[in-house]
Amino acid sequence: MTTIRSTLAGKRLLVTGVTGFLGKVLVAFLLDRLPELGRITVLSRGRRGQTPSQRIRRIAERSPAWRPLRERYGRALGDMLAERLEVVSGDAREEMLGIPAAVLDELTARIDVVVHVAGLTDFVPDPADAVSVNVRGALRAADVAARTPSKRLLHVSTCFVAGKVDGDVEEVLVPGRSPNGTRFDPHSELDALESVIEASREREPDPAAARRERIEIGQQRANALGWPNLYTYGKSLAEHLLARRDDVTAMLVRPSIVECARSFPFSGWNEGVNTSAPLVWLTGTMHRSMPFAGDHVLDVVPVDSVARGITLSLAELCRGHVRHADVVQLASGDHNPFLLRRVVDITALARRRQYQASEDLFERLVLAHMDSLVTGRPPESDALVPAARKATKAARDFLVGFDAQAHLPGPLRERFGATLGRWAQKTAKELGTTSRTLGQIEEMLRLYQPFVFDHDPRLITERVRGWTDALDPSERETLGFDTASIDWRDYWMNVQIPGLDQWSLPALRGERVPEDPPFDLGAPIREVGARGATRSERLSEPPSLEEGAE
Amino acid sequence: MTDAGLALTTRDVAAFFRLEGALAPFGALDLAARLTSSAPSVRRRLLGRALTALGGGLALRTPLADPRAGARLAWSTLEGISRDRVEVLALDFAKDEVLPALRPEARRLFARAKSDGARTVLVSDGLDIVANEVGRVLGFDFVVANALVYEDDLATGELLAPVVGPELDPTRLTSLARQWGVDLARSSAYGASEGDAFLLSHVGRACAICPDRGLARVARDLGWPIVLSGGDGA
Repeated sequence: MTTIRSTLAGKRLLVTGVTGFLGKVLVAFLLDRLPELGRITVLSRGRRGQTPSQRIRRIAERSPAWRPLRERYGRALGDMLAERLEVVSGDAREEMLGIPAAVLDELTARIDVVVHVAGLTDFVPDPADAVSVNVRGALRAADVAARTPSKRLLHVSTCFVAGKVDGDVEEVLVPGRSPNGTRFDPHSELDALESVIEASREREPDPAAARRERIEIGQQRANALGWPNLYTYGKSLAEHLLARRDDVTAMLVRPSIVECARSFPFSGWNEGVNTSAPLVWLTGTMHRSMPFAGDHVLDVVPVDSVARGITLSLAELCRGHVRHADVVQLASGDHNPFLLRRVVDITALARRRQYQASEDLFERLVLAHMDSLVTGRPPESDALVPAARKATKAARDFLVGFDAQAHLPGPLRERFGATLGRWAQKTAKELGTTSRTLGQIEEMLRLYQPFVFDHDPRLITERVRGWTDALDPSERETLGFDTASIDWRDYWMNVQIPGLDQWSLPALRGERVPEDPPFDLGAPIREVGARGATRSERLSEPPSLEEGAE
Repeated sequence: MTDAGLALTTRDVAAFFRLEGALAPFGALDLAARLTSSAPSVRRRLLGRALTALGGGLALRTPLADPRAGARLAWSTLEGISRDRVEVLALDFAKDEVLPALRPEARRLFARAKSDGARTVLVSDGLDIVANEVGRVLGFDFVVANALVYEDDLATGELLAPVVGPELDPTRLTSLARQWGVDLARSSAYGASEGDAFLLSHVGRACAICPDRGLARVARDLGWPIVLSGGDGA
C-alpha cells in the first residue's frame, strides 16, 4: 500500500497565505505530522516595517498555531525550521505572486506543488480587492505553478461557490455555468468586473463612495448569476478561470465553514472573525429570535480537519491521480449533519452555563434564562429589531440635544440641572451603543440569510472520505479526514464556543488577542534570495501579526 | 430502564441504594421541574411548571392520588425538548445539585458495602443521565433508572419501558437479581420513601435513610434500622 508519507516524502511545496488562519495551521500541521516532507517555501510580504522572514519568524515564535512545534522541538525548533522551511518575499496581488525575478527560476525549478491558500474571506469585500486577491491571485499562483516541473497547483476555494442552491452539491465544476444555470464566459466576466472597478475609480472622486458603488454593482452581478455574495462570486470566478488553463493541473479544494481546531494545534484554536463567530455572538445578545431554518445544515469543518483534507488532496495530486480542475469538498453535512436548530440550542446551553457561573447579577438572573429560539421565518419578518434600533436611535438623538436647563422650572434648575444633564448624556451614550448593536444584528442577519434560511446545500464529500477509508489505520488516525467522528454537542460546547470566546470574539470587539509567551528561535529562517540564499532576522519587539493576503 | 455496569463474577451479595431521598435529598420530579423550567420558550416553561406541580401533587402518597400518573404527567412536560437540552441540563443537575448534596451517612454505608465486597446497585426513578453520573462518580456496579424516549432527537415525554417507579416492581427486582446472580436474602437495601418498602422488604438487610413518615412507620414495625441526617440512628 502506498502511504501518504511515502507519496509526499521529499516533495517541496510553495505555500501562500501562511499568515492567515488556515495557512498557519496547515504549515504547522505539515511540519508536525510529515517529517518526510521536503522543504516548504512560504510566500510572505513585508508589512508594517516587518520583512517577510520577520513575519514568519514571529509566527514561529509567538503564534499559538505553532505551539505544538515549539513544544515538540523546544530549542531545536530553529534548527528544524532552518532545514525544512524557507521564506520567499511576495504578494498575491502582483504578477508571479510578486516573487522577485532574480529567484523565480531557481525557486520554481525545485517546487513540486504550489499550494494557494491566500485569500480574502470577507463576505462583502471591495470588488477591487476581491478581484486582485481572490481571482487574479489564483491565476498568478497558476502562473507560478506552470513554471514548476510538474505544473501542479492545489487551490483552496470554498464549498459555497455552489451558490444559491439546495440539495446535493457534487464535487464537480461545470466551467462557464453559474449556480442558476446561466452560461457565462469567465474571462469576459473578469474583464467586465475590472472595467466597472476602473470606471468607479475614475467617476467617483470620493474613495469611500466609489467603494460602495463597486460593492453594490458587484453584489447585483453576483446575485444575478446565483451567488449570494461577492466573496463566493470571486472565489467561483477563480475556479472557472483556473479550469480554462491548459498549462497546469489544478486541484480545487473547497472547505465549507472553517472553524475552531479539534486537536491541532490544540482544542479550540481559532483566529480572526470567522463565519460562525458573529452567529455565536448574536446568541449572546438580548436578541432571542433567530430567523433561521432549523432543519438546514450549518456545514462546519474544524481547521485541523481541513489541514488533513488538504494533505490527502496533496498526496492524490502528487500521485497523478487527479485530473485538471478536479474538485474536492471538505465538509461535514453529507455524513454528519449539524442542524441549525441544534446549533442554536447548544449555543444557548453553553451560554446558559457561562451566565449561571457569572458574578454579574444581570447575566445570572436574566441572560441565563433567555434562550435563543429558531423562528423558521425569514429575517425580514422580524420587525422588532429595526423598530428597536429606530427607537433607541431617536431617543439617543433627543438626549444628545437635551438641554436640562431649558426644560426645568427655575427653582429646580440650579439644584438638578447639572445632574440631569450628565444623566442625559450618559444615557444617550448607552442608547447609541445599543442602537449600533441592533444595527449590527440587522446587518448580520441580512448577510447570513442565504446560508441560514434561504438555501440548504448538501455538500458531497465522497473523494476525501474515500481516500481516508483507503488509508492504513495509523495514517487514518493522524492524517485522515475525521469529521465523521465529531460529536457536535461536545465540539460546539467544549471546543467551538470556548475557542471563539478566547480567540475570536475579542477581535470582534476590537480587542487584541494575546500571543504565546516569547520564544527565541535561535537559528535563522532561510529567506530565498536575500543576501545570497539566506538571511537571519532577529526581533526585539516587533509589531503584532495580522491576517495577510500572501 | 437501563442496567449499566460490569458483568457479575463470583460475588452474590448486593447492596441496593435508592438515589431519591436515601442518597440525596431530591425527588425524581425535581429534575423534571428543572428541565421543564429550562425549556427554550417562556410559554413552555410556564405550562411545564404548572403541570409538574400538578404531577408532584398527584405523586404524593394519598388515597386519592396515583403516584405513577403524577410521574407520567411530570415527565410528559418534557415533550418536544431536545435530547441535547435534556442531557446537558440533567448532567448539570447531577453535577451541581445532586453530587454536592449526597448524604454523608449514605456515602458511609455505600463505602461499607463496597468494602464488604457487595455488588452495589443504584436505583432511581429519575433519569438515567443523573443516575449514571452519580453511579460513575461513586463507583456503583449497576444503575437501574429510567430513560426518556426520543423521536428525531426530541423527547416524546414518555419513559422507556419497563419504567422504574417510586416502587421498584418486585418481579423486575427478582428478575434482575437472577440475571446478576444475586442472592436477595443475603443482600441489603437502603431507601427513604414509603415506596421503597417494597424493595427493602425483599432483601435480607433493610435500612431506612432519612425516611418519610410512611417508611419510618414501616421500619419501626419491622425493626429495620433507621439512619437519620447527621448520623443519628434509631
